[in-house]
Amino acid sequence: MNLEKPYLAVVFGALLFLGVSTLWDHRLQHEFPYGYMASDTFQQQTRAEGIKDAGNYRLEPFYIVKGYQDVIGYYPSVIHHLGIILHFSSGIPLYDTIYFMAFLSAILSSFVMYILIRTFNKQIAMLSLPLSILLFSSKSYIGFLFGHWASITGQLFLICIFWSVSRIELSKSEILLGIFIGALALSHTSELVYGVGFIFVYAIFLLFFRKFDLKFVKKVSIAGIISGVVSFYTIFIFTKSFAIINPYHFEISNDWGGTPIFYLTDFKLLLIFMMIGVVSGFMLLKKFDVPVIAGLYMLGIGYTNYIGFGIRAFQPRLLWPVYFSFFFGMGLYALIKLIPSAFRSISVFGTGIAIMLLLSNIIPVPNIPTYYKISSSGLMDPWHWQAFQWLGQNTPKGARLYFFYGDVYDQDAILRNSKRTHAQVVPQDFFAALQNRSVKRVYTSEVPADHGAGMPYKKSFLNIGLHQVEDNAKTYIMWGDSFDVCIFDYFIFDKASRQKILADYNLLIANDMLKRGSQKVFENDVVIILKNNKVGGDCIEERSF
Amino acid sequence: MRKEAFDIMKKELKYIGLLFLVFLVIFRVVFFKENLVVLFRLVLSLFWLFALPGYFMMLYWMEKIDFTERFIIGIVLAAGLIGIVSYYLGLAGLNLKYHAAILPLVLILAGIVINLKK
Repeated sequence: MNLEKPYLAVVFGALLFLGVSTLWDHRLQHEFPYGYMASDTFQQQTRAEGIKDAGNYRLEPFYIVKGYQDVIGYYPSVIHHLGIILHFSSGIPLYDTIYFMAFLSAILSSFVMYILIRTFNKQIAMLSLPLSILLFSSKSYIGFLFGHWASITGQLFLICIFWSVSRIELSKSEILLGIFIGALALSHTSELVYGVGFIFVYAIFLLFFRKFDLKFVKKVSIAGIISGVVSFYTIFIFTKSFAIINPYHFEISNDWGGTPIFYLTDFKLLLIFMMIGVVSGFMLLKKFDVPVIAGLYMLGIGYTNYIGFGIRAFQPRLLWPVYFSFFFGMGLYALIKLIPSAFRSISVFGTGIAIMLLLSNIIPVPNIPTYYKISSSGLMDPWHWQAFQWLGQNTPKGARLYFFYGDVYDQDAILRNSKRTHAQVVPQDFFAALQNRSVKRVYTSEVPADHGAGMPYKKSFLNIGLHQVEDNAKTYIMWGDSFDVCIFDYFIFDKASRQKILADYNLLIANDMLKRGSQKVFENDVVIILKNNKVGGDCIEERSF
Repeated sequence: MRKEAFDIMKKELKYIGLLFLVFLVIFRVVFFKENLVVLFRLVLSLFWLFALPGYFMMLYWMEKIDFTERFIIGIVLAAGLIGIVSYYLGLAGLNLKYHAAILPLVLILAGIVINLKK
């Protein structure tokens, strides 16, 4: 009996259920960005919104880059394009489709790894697949909840490179390899380095075992040309922006800015099977070359934080459950092989299901890592979403917005949903003013923006400048760190806060502004928006209370 | 040989039709609070954007790779190609809102033509 296909359907359903459905309250479309837990999730979502609105990604949406209208679209954007196209095709809101694509990419990663292992041994592949449930264990889940979506998509294509290499003997396989390398370059450039590195490592393996030949060189060269053509423009921008702002320097880093980091010990008891798998795999290296080399290679990549790769080492760890699945399956298979061959297929199926039940915590067992159940609407709520929508649709495109204190505004990419150039008060200055019982006109402020690539713009043909390097507060006001709020066109106040006194202070300022001629243009239960009718004038009186 | 290929294609397109129904059931079970129309639209979109173009692009390797492997890798291949081409078509001036209709169609046709030539 062929149990493979029903098994794949069950695993696919389980991954979909545990990964995205539970987080999303078992719905596909929502009234507002749902399950967005950190600033970077909004960074991805608002960039996609900007690309959709423009109809292309020639330029970065201006509200992501301090209001500059000429910044070249610099971010690797495959996930954004896929989200947008799925949005247009399905009619589901873009904030849902782009998030869905991140989950689908991860699930597809598991299945591509499955077919890669299956090329060598179907039963090991079936035993390997359930480990992917740990994509949704607490530390891997961070990748989705905190917005590492582009990296996840990139890693899908990285695994496709592993698959292509395992199928390199096929006629025209170089075309597939070239497309996957190109797609990787346009998805997340740092993984491109890992993809190219893997091919290099595999070539050394071939050399070592005297299997290296001209055919391999020819195929890889053609793949390189295809991917070079596909990614030339993106890599050119990357080298003139990201690479200048973030040059490589050696450092040992064990910190991901407070983000929990996946460690090998997080596999707990499963490490026993994985170790058996590593030893068996190593002994059978010639037979299982690609999955073994890929697994060990990605283990090594996960530790490049010790040679200066920092965050770029921690992101691949998010998919360790996929990269190491071969070792896990191999470890289990070493035990299953003891069962008479007549019962082996059903044993593999049963063991796979049992592993799924264990890892999804339906059968709790101590010291086994499990799926992390989370179901939350996240940082956004219907009231803020309504306010952001109003701002994006009812204010002039050139309007400048000033956000007073809001509980969720420290995750500042959320503010880009206003689709306008914006600044916000620095909470510490706001708290100090409240403690001093004063109403001020000038606040220490920040203009949130994406600084990762230096805001590249085209100076002339093949000549790219960086606003971040060339400009300052004297040449462009939005580089300032302290603002007279009266220069802004609209003020946004939260009427509700976890600390009521902060919301009360917001309302006090808003009332003072109303007395000075500002006009209430929007209000719901949580947010109030004022239009400044005296831009550059006296929109508020400084006083004590 | 060509007839043989068409026969296989016919059979496999039936599998894809069946898979569409299986996916619909899986999505129905997994997203049990969602409206059936929304689920249908999403699954249909996933097949239109990724599964079908991927299947036709991978037809070239029909004799060497089995259906399951071609189906899975085809989905990712289509996603990669759509991501790449959509980006450049956008830069070239074709608004993204048309890509969902045009790109899968082009990939499907390209897959058929390549396979016919083979």
